[in-house]
Amino acid sequence: MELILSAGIGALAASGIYLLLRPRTYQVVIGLSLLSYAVNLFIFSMGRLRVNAPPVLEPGGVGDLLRYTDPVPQALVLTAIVIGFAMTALFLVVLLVSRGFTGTDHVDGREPPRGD
Amino acid sequence: MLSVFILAPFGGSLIAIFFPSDQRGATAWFAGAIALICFLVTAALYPFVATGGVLRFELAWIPELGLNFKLRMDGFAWLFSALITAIGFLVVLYARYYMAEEDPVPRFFALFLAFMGSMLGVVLSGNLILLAVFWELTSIVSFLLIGYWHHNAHARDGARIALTMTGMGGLAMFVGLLLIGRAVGSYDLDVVLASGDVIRNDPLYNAILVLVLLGALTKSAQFPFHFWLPHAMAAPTPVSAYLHSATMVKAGVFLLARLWPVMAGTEAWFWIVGLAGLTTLLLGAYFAIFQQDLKGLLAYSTISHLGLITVLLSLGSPLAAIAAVFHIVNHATFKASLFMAAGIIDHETGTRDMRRLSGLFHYMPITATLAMVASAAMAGVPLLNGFLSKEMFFAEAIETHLINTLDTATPYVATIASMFAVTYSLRFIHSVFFGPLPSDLPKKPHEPPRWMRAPVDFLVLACLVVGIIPAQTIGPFLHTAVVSILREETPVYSLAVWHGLNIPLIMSFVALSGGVGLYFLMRSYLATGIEGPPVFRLLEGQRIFERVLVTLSWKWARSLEQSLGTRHLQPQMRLLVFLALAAGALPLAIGGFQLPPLVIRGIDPAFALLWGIGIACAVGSAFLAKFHRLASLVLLGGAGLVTCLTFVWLSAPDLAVTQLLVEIVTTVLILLGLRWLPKRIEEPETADIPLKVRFRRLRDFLLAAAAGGGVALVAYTVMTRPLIQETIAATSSPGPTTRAAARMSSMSSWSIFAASTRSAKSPCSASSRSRSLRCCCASARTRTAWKRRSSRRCRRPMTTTIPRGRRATASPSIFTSPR
Repeated sequence: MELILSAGIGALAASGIYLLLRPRTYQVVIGLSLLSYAVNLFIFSMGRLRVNAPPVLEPGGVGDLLRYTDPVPQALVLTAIVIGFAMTALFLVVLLVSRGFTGTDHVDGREPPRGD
Repeated sequence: MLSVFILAPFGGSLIAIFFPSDQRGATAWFAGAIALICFLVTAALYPFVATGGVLRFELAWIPELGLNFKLRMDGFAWLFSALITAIGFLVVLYARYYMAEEDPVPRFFALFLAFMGSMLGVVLSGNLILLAVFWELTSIVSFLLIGYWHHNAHARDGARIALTMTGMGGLAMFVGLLLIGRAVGSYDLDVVLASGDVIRNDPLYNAILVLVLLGALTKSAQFPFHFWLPHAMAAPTPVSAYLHSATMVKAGVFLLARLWPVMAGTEAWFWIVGLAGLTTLLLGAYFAIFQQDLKGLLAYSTISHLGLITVLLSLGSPLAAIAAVFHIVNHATFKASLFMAAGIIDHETGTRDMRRLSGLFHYMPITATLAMVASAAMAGVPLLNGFLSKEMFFAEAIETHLINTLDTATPYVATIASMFAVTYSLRFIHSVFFGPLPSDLPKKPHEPPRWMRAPVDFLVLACLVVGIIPAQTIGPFLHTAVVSILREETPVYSLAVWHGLNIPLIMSFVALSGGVGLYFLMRSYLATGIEGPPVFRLLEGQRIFERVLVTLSWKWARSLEQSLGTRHLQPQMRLLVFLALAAGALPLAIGGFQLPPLVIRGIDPAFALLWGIGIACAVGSAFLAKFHRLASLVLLGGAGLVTCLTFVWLSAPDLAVTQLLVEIVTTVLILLGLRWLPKRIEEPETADIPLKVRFRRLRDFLLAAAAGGGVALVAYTVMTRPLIQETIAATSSPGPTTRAAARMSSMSSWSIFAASTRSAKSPCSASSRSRSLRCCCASARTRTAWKRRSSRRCRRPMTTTIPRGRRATASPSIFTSPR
């Protein structure tokens, strides 16, 4: 379980970082999205993996806390997902504006002298 | 009751800013009323303070860190509060007439009140952290006050220099105060003042001393940080009169005196403080002689007098400390009146240049008389207050405190410096009020309005009364202040004009006659009208300061930018990724890293299949993003869905729902954006890709793979380690409450993260191998928390790992109202 998830996180992070280093704005936006999946899963996994554990405390009794999932990483990830979305949206707009102003989709706003 | 001192000025400041700008009188009356109320409250508190009582006011601020908003008033703080509020009131009255019609007066009075509040905060703080906060506030507000006439370039420069110097000193002092807090175990001033031996014997005493002194000496404009003060003279005169007589610069000597009982008396203190003080005393007085600007002369004289107070505090003897406190009061009275007099002259004649001013006695005899009395006090003429404290200074200077050259030199330096003081005081009077009638003044001089002169009247009267009958006027107040600093060490002393014919009197006589003689010798040189002292003129503090600033913030920054900077995004991103990778790998490389055991069993095939798809989606999306945007987007969605399913699988349905919604919206958004992107058609991929491009792609690929592998490794290591929460909960008998568990788990996640890097075999053995992670400072706190828990389980006391500052934080927050 842990092995697979960490391999998945690694693959997501590697693809994201590779795309971040590419010259086209679209690639960077996709890369950021991939990277944010990786980061979210990483934070989430800090609370350890739990299958079939109730995430919500039942009213009435406290019971055994060990049976529940760790709420703190979940809360952090919940915020991170929303922020990641806002960031993607913002970059998408920047991408389009930059394209409109400069006529190119290169991250530097102009085409390099030789093609990449 | 004490909260009035903070609430009234700051509240008043907020109200004053909303006055209409043409209401000069109303704003002034309002500000004056606030200052007067503060003064009356101070006066009302005197009976309590005089009996040795200490007023306290406490409010919970950050109770988790043991920090309370604590105000504390003892005799010394009382004396300072009285000075601040009384002179504040007089300066407000004066400013009412000084400020011109077109000046935005509400801003002035608002800043003025804010400054008064922060200064009161400095002297009344009962807590070192609070003291540092108010200390920085005085720096910031003084910046705004000095730069009040912001259309004037000199004012802007002066404000900037003052802020840079005092701000940097304040930061150094803050670190010093933190070190004190660490050494003592508490930031509470009462505790700190009671643990002088702890501080003096601390291994870090020298560091504490240097850092705190940096703060105090920059604030008090001591050599070599003195040069900001003359430049601050571009401020409106009421500001100068307030900041440079009773408040801003006095904050430095206040701190020295406040910490005197716990820090003074060592050789390091004597050398640093004494050397700075003596140099300042002498150089300030010498420079003052050669100024052509009235306020410039007063500025250097202020520097010199502050040097005198610093020297007194450096000596480490109780009598010298008494003289220092006395001189603080005396200097505030005569210097405030002199600044106001200089302002009156400026206001009524239109210039402050001593080369143009002369013979003003004819036009303004009353102001001239007042100024003469005040500058006689500055020179130390008998029957005035300046004489008394100067006598005490001489008496202390000839005493031997420590046997070394500095101590031997003190009486000589003192005599020469006070000779210079006589010379510049005489010059102030003689060149402005006597001589031929002025011919080319911008305005026709006349006496100022009656109420503009009233503050000067009052202060000069105070100089006279204190100078003639000291024991009956200032005596009891001074005694209250001194007892609160020295406590049971307070020696027997007497305030009297006549102590018989003794060495200090002879020194005074030498200084007076020598100073008068020197003035008449130098008159011809001074009349040539050269600004600044000979030789030293070339070595100007401001130029050095500017040079350093330019080098730091401009030249070095530029060369750095030229060598490292680029206008391309990709190299920067590459550098960023590389640095992040290095920062992550470094602790592992230093601290040692043991691979966790590979657990193959227990793998759910469905989960493996899910992530097989996920990984394929991610990699595919990365490779298609350049030419096949839509396909890449679809694959990105696939990776997102896999993430979403993982959340469902691992008991986080809320995350899954959020992820799904966000996923849909993101895809739609990008789809909308796709059509505006330029078309990119895949060229037939052949071998004609340049080698450079291939190399670049390979490098990026390796970088990405390394980063991804690292993330995967760290994630796996953390996940295969047990959560400490589980072990804790298993040992503690009753079930903890929900909140505690939540907090614990949040900490434990991080402590596990920190602990995972050091390959601990069992939690107990980890406490013994403490060296491995010392470099990783970020995890220091969590490590302590972790150790504490592990020690609890090991039943082994580990008190040494708990920071000392934490121990004294258990005091409950209580509201202590005076009486």
